[in-house]
Amino acid sequence: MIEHEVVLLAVADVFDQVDPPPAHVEEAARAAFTTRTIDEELLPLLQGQQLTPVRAQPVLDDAQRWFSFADNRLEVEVGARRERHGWALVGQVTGPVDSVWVQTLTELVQVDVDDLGRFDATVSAGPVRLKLQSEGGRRVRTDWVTL
Amino acid sequence: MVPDPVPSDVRASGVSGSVAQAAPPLRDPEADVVAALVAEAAAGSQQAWDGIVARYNRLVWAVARSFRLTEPDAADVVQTTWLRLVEHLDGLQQPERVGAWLGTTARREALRLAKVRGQAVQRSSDADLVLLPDAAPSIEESLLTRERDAQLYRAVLQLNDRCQRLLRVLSASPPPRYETVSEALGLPVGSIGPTRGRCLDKLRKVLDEQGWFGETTTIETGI
Repeated sequence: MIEHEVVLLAVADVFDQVDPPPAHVEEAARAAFTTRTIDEELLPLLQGQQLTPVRAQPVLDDAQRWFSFADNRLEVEVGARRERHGWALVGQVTGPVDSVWVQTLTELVQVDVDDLGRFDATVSAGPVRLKLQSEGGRRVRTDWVTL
Repeated sequence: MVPDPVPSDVRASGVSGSVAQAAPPLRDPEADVVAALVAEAAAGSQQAWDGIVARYNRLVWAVARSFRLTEPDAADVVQTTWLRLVEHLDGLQQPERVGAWLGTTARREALRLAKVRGQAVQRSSDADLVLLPDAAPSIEESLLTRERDAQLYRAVLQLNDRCQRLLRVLSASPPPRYETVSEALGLPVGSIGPTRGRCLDKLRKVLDEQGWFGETTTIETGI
C-alpha cells in the first residue's frame, strides 16, 4: 500500500532527526576493529551449563554481575561489583593458567594470579574482556562484556 | 558465538521438484557484497570493516534504542555488539547474513541491559496493538522544527511498544530485510509483514484523524 510506504518513509525521516546514532558511536564502531586479534583463541561466554555461548550469566542486580567463560580446557568465572569509581572484578580460572590480563578499550593490565587461579582488578565502566596465557603457551581471550 | 540463523534461500534449496532442479536459487548481489565485506574484514581490511559499519550501524542503533535504553546505554550496546562481531568475524557461518547476526546480538545485549536497569520490556501480542495515551512533548520532539514531523512523532509514540519497536527498526537506513528484522526483534519472519501492516494502519488512522495525511501525500511526495 503506497500510503504505508509514505508513512514509513516519513517515520524514518523523523527518527533520523530525533535520534540518529551519535557520531562518537559510529566512530567507536569503526575503531572496534583495532581490537581484533587473530593469534588468540576465543574463550566464549556461556549460558548456564550449555556450551552455547549466548550472553552473560544471570544478572544479580544493577550493582553485581556474574560471567562465566569456558571451553573444554579452561574455565573462568568472574564476578563484578559496582563501586564508586568503576567495577571491582574478582575471578577464578580453572585450568592451567600462567598469566591473566584485563583489557578495556583504553588499557591492557596484567593482574596477579594466586595458586588457586584467583585474581582481582578494578576497571572503569564499559566493555571489558580477559586475556589469558596457559602454562603451555596457549593464548586465549574472552568475549567482550559490558559493565 | 551467537548461532547463525538459516537463511530462507538455504531452506528453500531443500525443496525437491523440477522447478527447484531447473532453476537454482538466484544469487542476491547484495548478499554477495556483504559476504565479500565480511571476508575482507576477516582478512584484516579496515576499509571493509568500515563498509560493514556504514551498512549496519543505524540498524544496531535502532535495535538498541527500540528497547528504550538511554543514549549512553544504547551506545554501550552498540559498542559491545561491534566488539563481538570483531571477535566472531572468522567464525560466521553465513557471512552474508551478518546484519541478522548483528541484530540478534544487539537485541540480546539490549535485553540484558534493560534487565540490569530493571526495565520491563513489554511483550505485547499481535492482537494487542492498542494505542497508548497521548505522550507528553519530549526533548526529542523539540528537535523537530516542522509541525507535521512533530505530529507524526507524537502519533508514533501513541503506538504500543511492539509497533514502536518494529517501526523503529524497519525505518533504519538502509532499510533492513524482514529476516534481519526478525532476528533483531525475535519475531517470526512471517509475522513481520502483517504486523507492519497493522501498525501502519493504526498510525495512519491516528494521522488521518489529525488531517496529516492529505497534506503529506500532496506536499511531500507529489503523489
